[in-house]
Order: sequence, then structure tokens, then C-alpha cells
Amino acid sequence: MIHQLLRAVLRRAGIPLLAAVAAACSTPPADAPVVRIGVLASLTGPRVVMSGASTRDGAMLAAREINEAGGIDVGGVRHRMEVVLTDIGEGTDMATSAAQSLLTRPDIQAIVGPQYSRNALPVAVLAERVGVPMITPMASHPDVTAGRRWVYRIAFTDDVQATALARWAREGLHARRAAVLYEESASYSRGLTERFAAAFTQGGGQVVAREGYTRDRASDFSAALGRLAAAKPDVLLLPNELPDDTLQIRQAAAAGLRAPLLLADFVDPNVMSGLPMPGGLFTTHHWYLEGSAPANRAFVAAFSKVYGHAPNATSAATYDAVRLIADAMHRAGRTTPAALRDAIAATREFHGATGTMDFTARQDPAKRAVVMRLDGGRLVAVREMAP
Amino acid sequence: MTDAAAEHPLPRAGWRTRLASRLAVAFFLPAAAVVVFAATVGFIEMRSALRESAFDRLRAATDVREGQFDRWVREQTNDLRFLATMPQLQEGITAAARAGTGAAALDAMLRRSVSTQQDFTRIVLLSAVGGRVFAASDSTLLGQYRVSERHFLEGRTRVVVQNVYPAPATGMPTLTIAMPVLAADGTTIAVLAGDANLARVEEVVADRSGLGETGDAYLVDRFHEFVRGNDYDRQRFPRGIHTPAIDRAVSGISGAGVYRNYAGREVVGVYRWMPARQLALFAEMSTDEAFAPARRLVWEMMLIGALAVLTLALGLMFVARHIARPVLEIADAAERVAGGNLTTTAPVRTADEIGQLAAAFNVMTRRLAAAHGALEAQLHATESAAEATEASRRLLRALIDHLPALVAVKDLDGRYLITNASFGDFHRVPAVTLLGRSPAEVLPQANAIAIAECDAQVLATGATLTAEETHVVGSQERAFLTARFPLRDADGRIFAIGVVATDITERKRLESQVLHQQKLEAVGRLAGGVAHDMNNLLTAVRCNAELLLDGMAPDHPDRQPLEEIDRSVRNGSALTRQLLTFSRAHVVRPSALDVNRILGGMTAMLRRYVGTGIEMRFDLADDLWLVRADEGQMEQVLLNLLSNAHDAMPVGGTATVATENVVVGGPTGVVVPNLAAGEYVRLGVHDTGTGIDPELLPLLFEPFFTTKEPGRGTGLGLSTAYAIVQQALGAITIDSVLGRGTTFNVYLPRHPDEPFVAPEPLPPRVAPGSGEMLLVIDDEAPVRTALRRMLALQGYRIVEAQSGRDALALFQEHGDAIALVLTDVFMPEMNGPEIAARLHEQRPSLPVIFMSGYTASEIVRRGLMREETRFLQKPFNRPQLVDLVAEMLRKTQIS
Repeated sequence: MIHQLLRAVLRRAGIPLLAAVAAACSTPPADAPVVRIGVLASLTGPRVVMSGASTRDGAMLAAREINEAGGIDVGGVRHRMEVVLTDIGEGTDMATSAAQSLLTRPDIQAIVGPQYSRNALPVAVLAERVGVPMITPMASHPDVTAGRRWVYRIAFTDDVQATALARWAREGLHARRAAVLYEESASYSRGLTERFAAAFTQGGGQVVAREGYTRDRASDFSAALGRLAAAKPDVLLLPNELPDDTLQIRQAAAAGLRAPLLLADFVDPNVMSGLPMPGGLFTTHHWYLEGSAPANRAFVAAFSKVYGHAPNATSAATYDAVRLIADAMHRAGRTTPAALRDAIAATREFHGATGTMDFTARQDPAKRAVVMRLDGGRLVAVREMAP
Repeated sequence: MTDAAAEHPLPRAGWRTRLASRLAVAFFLPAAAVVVFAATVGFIEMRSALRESAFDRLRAATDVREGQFDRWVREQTNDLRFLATMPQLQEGITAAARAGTGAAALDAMLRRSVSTQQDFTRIVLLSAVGGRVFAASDSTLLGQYRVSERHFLEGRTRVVVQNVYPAPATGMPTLTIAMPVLAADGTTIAVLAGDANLARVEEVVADRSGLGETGDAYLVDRFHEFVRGNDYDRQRFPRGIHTPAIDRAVSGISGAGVYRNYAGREVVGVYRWMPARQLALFAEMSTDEAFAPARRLVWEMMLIGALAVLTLALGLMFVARHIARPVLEIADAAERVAGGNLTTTAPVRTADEIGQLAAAFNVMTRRLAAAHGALEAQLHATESAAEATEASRRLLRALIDHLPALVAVKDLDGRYLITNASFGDFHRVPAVTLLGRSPAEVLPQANAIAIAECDAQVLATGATLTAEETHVVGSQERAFLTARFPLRDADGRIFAIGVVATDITERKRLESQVLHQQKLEAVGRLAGGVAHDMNNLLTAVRCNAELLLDGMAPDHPDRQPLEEIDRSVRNGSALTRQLLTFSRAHVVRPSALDVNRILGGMTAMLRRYVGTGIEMRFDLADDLWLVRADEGQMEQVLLNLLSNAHDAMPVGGTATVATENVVVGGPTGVVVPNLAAGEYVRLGVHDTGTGIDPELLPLLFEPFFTTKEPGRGTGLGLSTAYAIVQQALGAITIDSVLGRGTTFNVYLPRHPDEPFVAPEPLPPRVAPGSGEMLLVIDDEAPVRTALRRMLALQGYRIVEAQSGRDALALFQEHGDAIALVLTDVFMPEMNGPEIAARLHEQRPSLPVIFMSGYTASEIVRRGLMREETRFLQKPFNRPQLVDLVAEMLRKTQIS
């Protein structure tokens, strides 16, 4: 005992070690050069809760982390990242106007968004013409990126998502008869419906009834749902945006539809839990909260700490898009849009919250779809479908 | 003076004419300046007036165009309204709705409208519900939905003009006019929407009337794009057009100014933001055209002014020639003075200013002669000052070159400007060869980077930076105390960095050595204290155990446990002895020793000690010198080192013990760290074992450092050996290679004495006592009791005292009956030697035995100076005690 004590004392009294204090990297100084990226989000109108706020939070978190880690090293010079949040409101014409305002600002090096395919499609045309890189985090319509040089996306495409839903309906729910209520004025909804129908039919099922509606008549679906109920479907596909689908779920139950519901990646458990859904509700995402990749765990922890609630897929994908731009800009070593585009196209292994992405041969990352069930206020992954 | 004149010959030719022309020029320049000033003011005034007039013209032009634009939009709205109210259209819509199919008739009708009017590029009909294009002048638009676009949402109920926006379908700038198509009952059956032909808008706006020859008018939308927006413009301005005027106009500000337009031309322009159309309207004309009258005016003014000035200047020149003559005489005199003739004078002809000038010139010439003499004296003084500066420079150079510290001065790029001899010596090159080089070229990269950082800090703070640094050149690692300081010029600007580095390698080595010594001493004192108290306890345990054993039958059941206690006490006392040795508290009896002889006596024991798996070799030098050391301690050192060798070879090997004579230091001697020059005997113990991790080497002699498992080693072996060798003024060194083995070398100073003294023969055993009275003094009751029992068994009578005061009282009481005193050394109130001194005052021949477990004290040494006193090391066994008591009593009797 005494030996040990003495040894400990003698060690302590040993020659003091000389400690070198390294200057830790911190936030770049306020006068550092700035990299500005435009973020297009619905900050007014009915979509602000579902999409706009999530977009804003994901982008701001990414920019904050990048700046706190010392900014972006572009060719040896630390740059501060600045997010220029721009409201795209409700209408498509407003989205194109807002996007064009950003694209004609020479200090904007890239844009992130829009999240909805019907907005992302025309904005992609503008970005392509002006020659500014655009990354849409969530728009899943294949035409957003098809044939373009300047447009990339983080999410999966509707091909992947519709096929996964159809396969789950056939294999997981053993459904033979599907009915669809879709927004025919939305390219996203139309496209999903067509792709689902093709995959479901190919799998041996049959789409027995489909009803379309347009955005300006999106409050009372009971007549259409009544006609769909009459076809006695095994599953009901609602490939529509919030808040339409919330109304549709409520009115489907009222119309006596007890079949399982299939929804696309617009499901928000915060809004939908508590709605009547006797057959259960299934959806697909390219991301889920409990994903075990280290990048996702770090993102979820950071997000929850800053905002006090768990993130959704929109936040995750937006976060990835902003960080991908920062990463590409660092690799490019220059801030010009053309150099940035080339660097994005050379992205080989980007570890994001929504998965590892490679853009060397394509503009859409290869993402698996996760089929999830809405269960007691949260989404529970039930199956992963490889792309 | 003459030299200067030869170098700069005075100009002679043209002198006269130049003076006159200078006078003319002196007049000409201000006159010309006035002319230019007048022309400039005229130009500015006129330009300002012209600009205002241009603004007025352009404003009027923009008013006209804004009105035309609005009228054009109204006309198109009316045309579209006319179309919307055509019965054929309403009928066609109703029919198409009924049929539920395409409406070819409607498509044709819309196509016709577009082709005849040319003011719309396309016209479509949108379904009242869903905003679907069900009829269109352009069939590619059919089937599109405009459900979330403003012209549909608002066009269902009223006429709406949607200002220029990028159309979602095409991305092109578009102005859309839309309105409901109403059925007879007033319900909306469709929305009619037309995209205006912006090329026509541009035609309306770009009409040159009222804009002059170079005028231009154009529209820019809120996205910084030309409304005419053809592909050429897009490729030229992919990110939109950005000029200060356009940026201002698009941000909603109307104004006017002279600026560079999108084409880089300087123009007078008026811009106007039209909030109702969300467009900026520009009307511009080139400044060349706008300001042409002002430029013409300037040229005219300049020409007339120049003619007037020139005429006057010629007249002036003529007058000037007459005034110049006396001046020229003075000039001649000045020329002679310039030639070196300082005695020259100029004629003073008149009393006017020129006469005064001549007189003043003569005074000046005299003064110049005087000043010339003074100047030469000053030249001498300057030369001696330069010599003094050079001497002090040489002095400084010599001083820094003889400084042991490293001195350097570097420029702001880190290149050496000055280096002293020590600096060069450290880098192993002549100091001059370092000039102009940087640390990165002469030092390892890490050091050079560290130096550059320090220099940067000095430059940043402007303050002296003092630091301890380590630098490596070749295999040499040296520690420096370095001061870096900025050198400033007279304006306080830093122009160089000075460095003074003092080599503190030796000082740091000594510091760490002193630290190690201090640690050993502290541990030693602690160990000594522990050993002292432990020895008291062990004495009592041992004496009592022996008492019990005494007279116990050989087969008594308690005998074995008691013997076990006795053995444990012996082991314990061996440990305390080691602690005492380590703390130098042991009584050391150094004598002249032959290390080979000691080894000879231990050979068999050493072979047993290292065990059977290890081969033991001896490599002993002949004629080995004697050393001065304690024999017992030398044996202990040897055993400790061999114990270490044994532990290092768990799977066997060879242990070699070697001795030799070594001369350390001097011109031919070997070098051993921390050892003074002189003659030594080396005792080497080499093993072929596992070797020692280099990181552990510095810890090896630390007390209680051990690599063995707890309980298997005390960690005192090597530190004890170290302490013993240090005490004997020797040194221990270690050479170890991991996996190859370790050699410990012990260096002991040579003993000058030659003879070997044989130990004294042991005294014969003595008979037990015969009733002598002994006074036992110890503050520990168990020790007293044990002593009483043991001595009583030997036939002595015992009186006990627990303190000095008791002892003195008992001595008074029993007086001469007390034959001998046994006393502890360290006690409260009065210590053993003090008691002995008081007793010896009364009876100097009284034999006294001091007992202690702790012998370091000076007290003990003083007490032992008398013949009548002896020392008994605690813990002792019965024979030691009894023999010493009997011997002391016998001596007293003999004397």
C-alpha cells in the first residue's frame, strides 16, 4: 500500500511536461470571403410546416456546422457559408420568379430546392439555362434531372418509390386490387400513379379504379372516394401532397374504405397520427430517423439538440444538399458555378445523413427505398427495398 | 570648388535669350491658365445645363413610352376581351365540354387570332376547374395544368395582367393577360389567357423618336433581363445584366444620371421603375451627342484666348531684353566665382534693384570664401566620425563573436542578416555562410517551423518573446533559453528580428540530477523513519518470541508457529535494514576491499542464487585495484544486480560478472557520465535477457519502481544499489538492447591503501550474569518487558525506566548497584545520549549500551564517542544482546 502511494506521489512530482497549445480552428472571421447559396423554400402558405420550416432548419443546421468547423477551405482560403433563404410561396409561377431572382444574382454560387417536383421541374429549366448548379433535396420526379447538366438531387426517384410501394402492396400486403386517388394537375402525383400502376400490374395485381382531382378542388373528395370504395380495393394509393392527403385519409374512412393506405414520401407522423386508418398506413422514404449510419446518427443528434424535436426527411435531405455543395466547393478549389458543377459531378463517396452518394455516372443517387408503417405516432421501418 | 565646376559646366549658349523668354513664359503661363480656367468653367456650366436639358428630354420620352406601354396593354386586353365575348368561342367551349374531347375548332380560332394580331405569341383556353389547357393556338401546350398560376387563379373571376415572369412551361419571360369566359348565365366556363408578344412591346418602347441620333430605350424585368430577351442577350448575360443604374431601377428606384450602360457606353440616361408592370424603363443617349455643344464652346474659347496670350508674350519679350543687360554682368561675375575665383566682384552701376543685387553678390562672394575654409575643416571631422563608427562596429562584432550565447539578426522574411561565431559553431558552418539563408535551410523542418511561428508572434505583438527551445543539429540536441525581440528603425517600424539564445543544456541536466537527488533524499528520510518505528516493534516481537521458545519442549505444538514468527521478524528486519541502507541511515564501515576476493567468497552462493537454468560466468581482471567500500553493502549491490539479471532471463541464459581497472577521463581515459575523472574499478554484470524498454531506463533507479507483479519485488533493489554506489562516490551505468540483454556497470573509486586487514576474531562466549543490576530505559513498554525477561533469564537484576527523569531518579536510588545501562536513543523529553551524559557526570566509567533502529542521527554518533558506550542495532536477537552485555560487564571488571 505504502509503495503504491509513494510511487503515485513520485510520479506526480516528476519533471513537468511541456504542453504545446495548438490554436484550434474556429468560426471564420466576419470579414472572410462568403460563399452564398440560395435555398428555395415555401415559407408562406399551407406548406410552411411540412416543407418550408424543415427545409430552412436543415439548411441552417448544415451552414452552421460548416461555419463552426472553420468554414469552407476553397483553394486554401477559408470561406464563410451564407444561406440566402428565398420564399417560393404557393404557386409555380411564384417559384420560377423567386428562382430567377436568385439565379440572376451573380453572388449566388448554387441553389438548393425546390422540394416539390411541380416547382423543381420549371426551376431546373432556368438553372440549366443560366448555368448555376441546382440540387433539389426532395423532388422525386425523374424529369427534374433527366438530360440536364446542372441539376442533381438527394432523394430517390419516383420510379424507385412507386416500384417499392407496388412490391410492398403485392408481396407484403398480398393485395390484388388497388385503387388510386391522385391529383391530376400535379406531375408528381400523375407520374407516381402511372409508375405504380405499371409495377403493380406487372406484379400480377390490377388497378381497379382511379380518380383524379385538381388542386383548385382539393377539399371534398367524398364523391370520388365513394366511387373508389365501390370497386372494393385491397389497397388505396394516395400519392398526394400535404395537406390534401390528410383530408383524404379522414374522408376515406368516412366513405367506408377499410383497405390499407399507401402514401408516398409526404407522410408526416406529426400531422397524420390520430387519423382514422383502419387498414393501416404505409409509405416509403429514402431516409428514416433510426438509420444507423454514423452520418445519420450525428445529424439526428445535432438536429434534435438545436431544434428540440426530431428531424424529418426534408430536413435530412436539405442538410445533405448544403453539405454536398460545401464539400464539392472545397474539392473544386474555386467558387465559380462551373467548377462547382464539375466537382459535384465528380462526387464519388459522399457520406450524408440520407446515405452514401455517388454522382460520377448519374445525377440521381442510388438510394434504397424504406417501406415504413405509421405506428402510434411514429414511422417504423418494415422493409428495405434495394434500388 | 574647381572640381565641381569642371563636373557641371555652366550653360553659356542661349543664356541671354532664355532669360528674356523666361520672363515671357512667366507672363504666358498665368495668362494661359486663366484662359483654360475660363474655358473649363464654361464647359462645366454648359454641360450641366445640357445634362438637365437632356434629362428633361429623356423624361418626356419615358413618360411617352410608359403611356404607350400602358395603352398597348389596354389594347391587347380589349382585343382579348373581344375574343372572350365572341359567341362562337362560348359555343365552342360548351360543345367541347359536352363532347369531352379535344376542341379542334377552338384551336383553329385561337391560332387565327394569334396570326392576325401578332400581339400575342400564344392564346390558350383553361378549364374553369383544374386550369387544364384544353384549347391552344400552340398544340404543344395542350394538357398542361396552370392550376397554381396567378393568371388562372385570378383570371377565373376578373381580368388579370400577370406582369413579366419566367413561364413555368418554357422558362421564358412572359406577360400573360387572362380573363374569364362567361356563359349567358354569368358562370365562368373557361379562362382565356394570352401571352403577350414582348417583341411588340419592345418595338413600341424602342422607337427612337425624341431620343436624338444615339438614343436608345429598353425594358428590363425584375430578374435583370431584357424584356426583348432574345438568345443573344441570354448568352451574353447568363446571370442577368448588372449595372449600377439597372440595379437601382430594379430595386424600385427611379432616377437619372450620367453612367455607363450595359454595353459599357457612357450615356446620359433616365430610368424609371414601373411598379404596375414590375419593369424598369430606360431611355439613354450617348454623352458624345448630349454634350457636343459644350465641347464646341470650349474649343472656340481656347483658340481666341491662345491668340491673345501669344501676342502679348511677344511684346513682353522685347522689353525684357533691355532689363536683362546689367543682370548678365552679374551672371558673368558669378561664372568666374563658379570657376574657383572667389576674389571676383561684380560692377555696381545703378542704385535700383539690380544695383542692390550686384552689391549683395559681392558680399556673398566674400562670405563664400570664408565658408569654404570652414567646410574643409568639417570634412576632416566627418571622416574621423566615420572611423569611430567603424571602430565601434568592429568592437560590437568582436563582442558578439566572443559571446557564448548564439546571436542572430533576421530580416522580415526570416533570412539571417547577422550571425555570431557561436551561432555558426552550433550549425557547424562558418557564421558568414549562413547570411542570406533561412532557418528552413539549416535546421530540421520541425524546428524551422517552430522558429517561424515564434518570429511571426514577435512580429505580430512587437514584444520580446522569451522561450525555452530545443534544437537539433546532426545528432546534437541542445536546449536554449531564447529571447526574440523586434528591431525597430527610427520611425518605430520593425525591420528585423533579433535572437539571443543561451545554451542551457548543461543547466537543465544538472537541474534534473538535483531533482533526482532530492527525491531520493526525501524518500530516504521517510524510509528511515518507517524503519526506526518498525525496528522497535520487531525488537519486542522477536524478544518475546525467543522468550517463549526458550525452554519449550521440541515437540510443543506452539513451537512451530513461534518459529514462524521469529522467521518473519528476521525477514522484516532484513527489509528495514535495506530501507536504512537506502536512506543512508545504516552504519557503514568502509574499508579497503578486493572485489575479486569478495566475488571469490560468493561464487558458490551466486551460482545457487541465479538457479540452474542460467549459466554463470566470471571474467575477473588480474591485479585488480582495491576499492574503498563497505563489504556487506558491496555484497548487497552484487546480489541486487544478479537478482535483476535472473529476473530478466525467465527462460534461461548467461549471466557474466566481470571486473577490470578503468581510468576515467583525461586524454586517454574512457568517458562515463556523472563520474569525475580518476581511477576506478569496474564491476560489470551482464545478462542475455529481455533487455529494458528505453522509456523505462530513466525510471530504473527510482525507489519502488518495479516491473514485477505486486508482491514479487519491493522496487528497492536497484535504487538501493544506486544509493550505495553513490555513497561510495561511484556510479552505475546501464547498457540495454531490447531482446538482447542488459549490462550494469558499477564504477568504484580506487582505494589508495594497500594492505588487507583481516576481520577480528570473534570474542569467546561468556557466562551468564550473576545478579548484576541493569538499568533498562525505553519509552516502549513492550521493549522494556522483553528485555527484562531475557536478561532476567540470564541471571541479571533489572530496573526499568520509561523516561530520562525516571532513569535519573532510579540511578539516585540504587547508585553504585547499577552495573550497566541499556537505553533507547530516541525518546521524548530526554534522549539516550543525553541521559548517558548525565549519568557519566556521576560515574564516568558506567557502561552504556544504546539501542536503536535508526542510526543516521548525529546524536548517535556523538554518543558513541566514549569508550564506555556501544551500539546495538534493533531488532536484535538474544545472543547479540546477551553477548554484548556480558562483554561490557567483563571489560568493566578487568579495568
